[in-house]
Amino acid sequence: MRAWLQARDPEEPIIPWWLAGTIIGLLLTISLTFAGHHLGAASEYEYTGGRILSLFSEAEKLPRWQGKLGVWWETILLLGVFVGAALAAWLTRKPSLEIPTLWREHFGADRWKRYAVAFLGGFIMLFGARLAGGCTSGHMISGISQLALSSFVFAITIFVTGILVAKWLYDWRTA
Amino acid sequence: MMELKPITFLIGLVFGATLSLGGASSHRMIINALRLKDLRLMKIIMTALAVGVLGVSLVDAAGMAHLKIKPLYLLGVAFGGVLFGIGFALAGYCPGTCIVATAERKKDAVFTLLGGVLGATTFGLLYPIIEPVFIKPINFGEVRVPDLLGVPPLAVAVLLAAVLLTAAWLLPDRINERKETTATQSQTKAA
Repeated sequence: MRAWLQARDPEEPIIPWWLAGTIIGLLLTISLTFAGHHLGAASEYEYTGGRILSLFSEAEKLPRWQGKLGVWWETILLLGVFVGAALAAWLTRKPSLEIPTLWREHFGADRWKRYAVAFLGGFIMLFGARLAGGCTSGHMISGISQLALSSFVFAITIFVTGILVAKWLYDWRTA
Repeated sequence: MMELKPITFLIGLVFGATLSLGGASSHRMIINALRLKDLRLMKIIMTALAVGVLGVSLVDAAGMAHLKIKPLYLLGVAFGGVLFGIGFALAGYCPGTCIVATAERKKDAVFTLLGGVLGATTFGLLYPIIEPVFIKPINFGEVRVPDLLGVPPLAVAVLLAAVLLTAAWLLPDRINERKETTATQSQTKAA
């Protein structure tokens, strides 16, 4: 009980990997069976931008976005993701975090330096996700579970590149 | 556009809570996974894939799954994957987990979220230029591995799940990770 009330490390898991993995695999199966869709996040980023642009332009008339800027399953799914994560963090008393600890150890405590790289990373990552046709959950997990060749190619390229860039940033560059 | 169902929200709720509780929204766990020092995230993904591929293949064999196979357009998928990998390592979050991290009040994740909206929207606006170069050429369509090998999907699923589960079981949680943060914390406590 005391351990529960003590300040938690916001970057450490609370449930073991096998449990988290099993739940995600089951959720995908349930989703494809009963909800009629997979798990994904990347397209919603594009449509959110489209919705914002359509407030002061005629972006909704672009062929790519026509009829797609309304509320659809991914909007509802991600709303659930946000609420579920907020509830879990609140119930487990996960403290908030200004800068990730590992970033601070390697690149210092300048918040805006971290926020700028986080923003740039988000830009490149979502541009790439839209180009490839999905993200970690939408393409890799949902796609490989359906044995799509495309998703195997995607998984290999993101991990090879991600590993090289992370090694360069956190190991080779500072060594 | 398909009909909206309440179950979608429930699935999201459990998905978000699981990613948070499993530590998948932790910058340190993601970066140390990419540095091949902390393999717990890889093991979450391996287990999810093993359970997912078995579950989906079984449901599909019963004719009850709504599969949606992503097409393989080699240039777009590979180049998009490379960009994704670069952004993934810079941000330390993926598109789904940065929503989770934002909900957990990790402040840098908000910036990944905003950058992501801008990046995805830029792609949408540039799509007419990108499509003829990256999407249309070398497009193999919706290919599945079992079709390619000429074997039943369930056989591939069982084999893949067995390999993934064995790997997840045998791999250690950590490889030569100096417990930098833990060491700092205990120093602070001692002082």
